[in-house]
Amino acid sequence: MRILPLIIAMLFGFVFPIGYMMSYSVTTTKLQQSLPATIENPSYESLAYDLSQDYSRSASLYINSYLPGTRSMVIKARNDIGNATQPYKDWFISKDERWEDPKLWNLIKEHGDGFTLDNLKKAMSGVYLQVLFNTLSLGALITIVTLLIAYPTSMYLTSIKNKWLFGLSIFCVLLPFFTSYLSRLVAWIVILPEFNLIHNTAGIFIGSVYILLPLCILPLYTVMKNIDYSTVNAAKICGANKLQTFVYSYLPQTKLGVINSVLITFITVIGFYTTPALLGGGSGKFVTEQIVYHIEISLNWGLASALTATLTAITFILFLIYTRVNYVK
Amino acid sequence: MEKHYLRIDSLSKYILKDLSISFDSKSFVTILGPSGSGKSTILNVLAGILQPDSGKILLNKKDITNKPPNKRNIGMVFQDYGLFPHMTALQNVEFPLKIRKEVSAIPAMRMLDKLDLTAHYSKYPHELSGGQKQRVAIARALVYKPDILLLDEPFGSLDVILRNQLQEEIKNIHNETQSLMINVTHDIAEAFILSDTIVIIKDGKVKQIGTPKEIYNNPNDDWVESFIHDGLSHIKKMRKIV
Repeated sequence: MRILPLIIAMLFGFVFPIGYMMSYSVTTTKLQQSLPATIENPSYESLAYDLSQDYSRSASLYINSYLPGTRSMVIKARNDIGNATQPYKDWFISKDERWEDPKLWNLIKEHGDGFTLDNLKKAMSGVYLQVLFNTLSLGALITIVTLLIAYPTSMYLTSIKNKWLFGLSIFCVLLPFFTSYLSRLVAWIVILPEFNLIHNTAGIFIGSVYILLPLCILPLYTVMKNIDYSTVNAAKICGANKLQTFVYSYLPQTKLGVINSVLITFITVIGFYTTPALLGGGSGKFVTEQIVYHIEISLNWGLASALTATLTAITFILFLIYTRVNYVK
Repeated sequence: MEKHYLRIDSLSKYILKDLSISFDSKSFVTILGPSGSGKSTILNVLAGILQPDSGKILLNKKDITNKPPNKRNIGMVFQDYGLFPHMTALQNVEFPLKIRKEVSAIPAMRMLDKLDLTAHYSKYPHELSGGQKQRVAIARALVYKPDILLLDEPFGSLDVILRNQLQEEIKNIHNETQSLMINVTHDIAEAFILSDTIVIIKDGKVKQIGTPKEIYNNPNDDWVESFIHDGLSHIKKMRKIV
């Protein structure tokens, strides 16, 4: 019963908004709202009726998002609908031949039931699948490199005995962590062009690794500092050389830290938007960039939300693993 | 018995200044001293975990001062066990044999049996009690037949009954293996019960070396005398009551 407030907060703050947004990916209510009569009874008469009504104002947007380039066609017809003459079919075709396109009428038919998997299918195929693959592979590479830098750094941090030196080192790790994300990125925007490393994958790579390092170091450090050092000494005394001591005694004991660091880093990097947008020069390599494009520019919210859904699903699976590793023993 | 089987020659490290001691083979030596007297430092230098600033360590007339710990064939038991938490009891005991690429399962199992751990061989350290953990640690340190066994306050974190039991077992193992064992403790009763030789140190310097009897009857100076008698006073008090 004591977790009730937590559940309520989760419902209102997370499940409801995200769920509402995600519902865009599987429903076509907007088309239903703007062309209800046409969807009910697909004909030029119904279309003429719908376009003469106020509620059809956004029809152009939604048709355009499925059939790119049709926006002006719909707007023109709608603006001139007062002068429409029967038979409407001829009138529409005289305005623009594309009104006859079977794709348009299929779209209207398919969206009639208000439920569609088109967005999700589209988000998981073709160019978007490629973008998803790019995001995941670049994210994995960034995570591995970050881990390879973070691991020895954390080991070094745990080995510092002098408290002033330790304070200074922790300060060096945490200061960037607490400095505004944007100001750090802007600094890179100034420096990277000097080396011709901006507006390409290398730029995204360097910026991301740098941003993620503290995030990767902290879970590792927490685990490493709790390792009983006598287990390391014991391995040496048992006959293990330095490499064997590391491989058989030290490394397995940091397993949890490594898993946590990798998951946190990877989850964060696949959700990165600012870094690829600013350092990658809007190359559109990341799913997040596509999402923003479809929300702000193409106004295809259905696709944007489908793309978000794929990303969220991946994050959710990773988060389940994280929870399982850490809290369910 | 070999005289001077293990020699420490004018060793300096931290509090230890120009320390020289030698140990005979087959003996059970206890290094006894108050906290901070440098007794653990001696063990860590012998094990190779710490490098001395100066001085030499000779094992069986061979200089091992610069040998890394893994080349010394020494066993060590820590106060906080030092067991690998990700390995079962059996895997812990097998570890030194596997590293040496020796047949491991049978000797490891035998060693666990000797320490009464057969029923627990597949348990992880966190599933074992303190006494069981220390037995596993002892089994791991003995399984490869080290030339010397170092015991760094191995009974320190156990309760009195377990401590007495395990002390007895260590003594039996020593009688059986006849290898040099060096125990570090600040428990004076323990030193007297277990040892053939006691080394009393204070502030990094040897105050007295001798058999328990010699030290008890002829302490070198007032400090040794009061150190021992204070340490044993609770036993005397108990005798009076009983």
